[in-house]
Amino acid sequence: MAVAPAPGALSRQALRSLALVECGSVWTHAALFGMAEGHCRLLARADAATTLTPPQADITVGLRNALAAIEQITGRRLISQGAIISPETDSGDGVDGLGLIVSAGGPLRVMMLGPGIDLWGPGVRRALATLAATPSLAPGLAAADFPLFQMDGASAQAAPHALLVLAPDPADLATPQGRASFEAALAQALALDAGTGAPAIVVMGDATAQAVARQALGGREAIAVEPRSPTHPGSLAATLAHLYDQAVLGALPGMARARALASAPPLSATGALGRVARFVAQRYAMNVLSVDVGATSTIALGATAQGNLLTTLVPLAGVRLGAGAVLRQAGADAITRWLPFALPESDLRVAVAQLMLHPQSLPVTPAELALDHALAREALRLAMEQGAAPGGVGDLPQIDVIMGTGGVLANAPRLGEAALMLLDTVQPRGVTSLVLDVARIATALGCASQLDPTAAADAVDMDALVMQLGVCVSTAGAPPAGEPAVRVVLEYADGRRHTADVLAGSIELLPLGVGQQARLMLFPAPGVDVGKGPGERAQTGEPVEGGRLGVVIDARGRPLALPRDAAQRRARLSQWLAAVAR
Amino acid sequence: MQSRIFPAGWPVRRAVEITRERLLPEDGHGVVLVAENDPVEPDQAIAQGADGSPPVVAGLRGRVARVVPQRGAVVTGQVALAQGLAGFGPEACGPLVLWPLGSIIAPTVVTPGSIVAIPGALTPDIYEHVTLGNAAGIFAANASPDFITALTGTECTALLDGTLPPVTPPPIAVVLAHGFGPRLPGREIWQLLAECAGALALLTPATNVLRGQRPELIISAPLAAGAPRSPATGTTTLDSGAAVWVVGGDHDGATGRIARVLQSTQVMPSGIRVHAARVALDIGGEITLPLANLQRVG
Repeated sequence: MAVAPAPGALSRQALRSLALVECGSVWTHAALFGMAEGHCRLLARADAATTLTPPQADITVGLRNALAAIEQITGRRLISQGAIISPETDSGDGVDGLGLIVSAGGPLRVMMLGPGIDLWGPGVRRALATLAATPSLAPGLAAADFPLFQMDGASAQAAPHALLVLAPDPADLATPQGRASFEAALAQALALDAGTGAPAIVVMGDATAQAVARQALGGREAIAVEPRSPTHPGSLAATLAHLYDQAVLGALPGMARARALASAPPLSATGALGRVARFVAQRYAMNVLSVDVGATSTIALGATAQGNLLTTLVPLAGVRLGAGAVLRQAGADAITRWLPFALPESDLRVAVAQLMLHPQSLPVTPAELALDHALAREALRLAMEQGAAPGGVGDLPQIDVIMGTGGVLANAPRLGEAALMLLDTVQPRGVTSLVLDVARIATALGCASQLDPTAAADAVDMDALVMQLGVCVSTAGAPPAGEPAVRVVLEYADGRRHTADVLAGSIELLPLGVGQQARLMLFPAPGVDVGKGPGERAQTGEPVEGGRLGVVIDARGRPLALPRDAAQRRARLSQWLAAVAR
Repeated sequence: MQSRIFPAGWPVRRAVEITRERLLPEDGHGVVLVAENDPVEPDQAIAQGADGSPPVVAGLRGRVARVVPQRGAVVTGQVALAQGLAGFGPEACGPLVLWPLGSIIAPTVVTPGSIVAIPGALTPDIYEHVTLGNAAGIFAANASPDFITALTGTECTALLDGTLPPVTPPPIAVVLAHGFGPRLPGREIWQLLAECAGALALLTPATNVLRGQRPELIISAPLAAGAPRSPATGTTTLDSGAAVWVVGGDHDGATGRIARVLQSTQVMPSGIRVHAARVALDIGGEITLPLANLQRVG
């Protein structure tokens, strides 16, 4: 495993069991891992409502409820007199370690300003993303241009936790204009400080810039960060991590008690998912895109085979508390276009508002489920759009694997629905593997790797925790009229062949079950690209692995275009769903 | 003003002891007009801002538990409490007045400074009538998002998640007990309000779904001798016999009682598999619903 153990990592010899708890904004998920025949296995998992709000207003209540549900399933006592039983007892009660993941509380809200945004921006955004933080950049903000007022609307109720003032390049700072623009940014930070409570001020720049800042800020305390290079923002990551710990985690009711129960410092969901994505990418030497659509936020992580991690987090875009933000950003038409039935905009607004007011509710009717899936598609699309910025997942050179996690994907009644949500929004090209975190423990595994990297690797290998949906071939471009988009030949291990001509605009499943292998040959029509260029044939070097859906041939084209006519569009959506319904 | 530092949590509480911080705004300083252990009435001023802004009133009948220098006081008292789902505008304190059921226009019921409880949808016509009557607040069953957006000048979902403040803040407090869309008024809430008509009430509309902040109506009603009192900490457990509201599905907004919690997971019409309960609806019939879609009442 590539991820280095954290300081709190347990020794391999000592490890017999691990409890991992993820406290989300709406649900708290618990998983119990134990040793069996020398390997770490998933023993049980359970959910409970997160209890940050009244009447409990204590994060540990939901944590204990989730662990109590595990106790009920396994008959193994985990809690005694309010404390975690640790280490594991001879009778098999308790656990050797408790890992904690916290995504409740949201991200660290950082507002960047200053003339150094162009210079340090990409490196800073990477550091912010790694910390589950997000920059709140006012639109149009650029060097020597400070329309910070645009932030004020949000700042009235969602003030930034930190104001990050970026100094210009040292050569620019030496000029009167450069110094003036930096001082103007510092003055703006002071003005924002007075209006929004007391966010931390972080000044990023060299020693000269820090001296200018001290003078300009007067007695106002500021944190100094000296970048090493435009791509390395020095101690910024550590500084912001400290602020995240204090300002976000520290504000959660009961967090101090939750920390006391855990065996290691809490991880953010982004951090935990990043560890899993990196592990899978390095273990299988592939580029992995991992997406997590949650109740409040959506995360897209790109991990390369070389160990790089690209993170995009949309802090307010989800299927419950973040549903209103999706509606506002994407628009009603963008959401309703995914529904197989007509829904007036006024009814959509009522439905979205009610989802926000009842975040724990589950879809009971097919219409409610369809709305959940439509919101998930748009939340994910927003994340992919945002990820096109430098340092985001858009920098992933080629997507080999798409891994979906989060309740709306994992709880999809039919696997084909989850696959369609991923394909409709990520819109991969060429050959891609689709996998789904059906057990909803991807973040738990990331946390496990903090406590025992080998155990986490064991669990991935032994329990097939991430379900292989299948290999997907996506086409781009249009074939000549009357011709299929691509002819697909599957040559099975026993020599049998399965040939299918797939029409443009359609999606089909070809048979290749779990554990089966076949050689995949693709013969696209002229003008159709299966990843090798228009009209170029392709053949996999190694046999491809089967999955629960088999081989998915997505010949709907890229970018995916939905019919403009509402009736045709609904008919097409229904066809696609029926084609992959498993 | 912050008023939900010590929130209660259950949608309807007939008699419960609560504690509320009653303070001047964070950036405001003034004179505190009460001392520790002083008895207070709901409409009694307890702090006066230095800038001449309206005083902070106690909001509930009880006593001063603690004085916060220059800001106000923490007040404790026995009250009836109804939680809402969404609210907008400034907080309000005044006598509770019931809008007659089924009435579209009822001019005589709107008295200046009152809090008008409307057992149905808040429509533009009713809103206009209530504001023209100089009422201080409205506690209604529901409203349409379009109306709230038009009223505040801000997309209503942005108000709910606190992303944007109202462009045109409503001049009076508006709280929706059941949120948006045509949802029926909950019997428990409206029965309680009917019993408490005329009593002084505090309506705090502050709402932020990301922080779990909900609006509430605190009624300082004189308790009848021997009236049942709610325990200070109620249960939120869903078990047989519990009174519940249904969230979502074809029976959204219906009330009933849990007939039994099912041991095995169930498949809903949507296809998802859930932990579920059988619920006997007050309107008749028994249905299976996810536990996650049941909200315990009282």
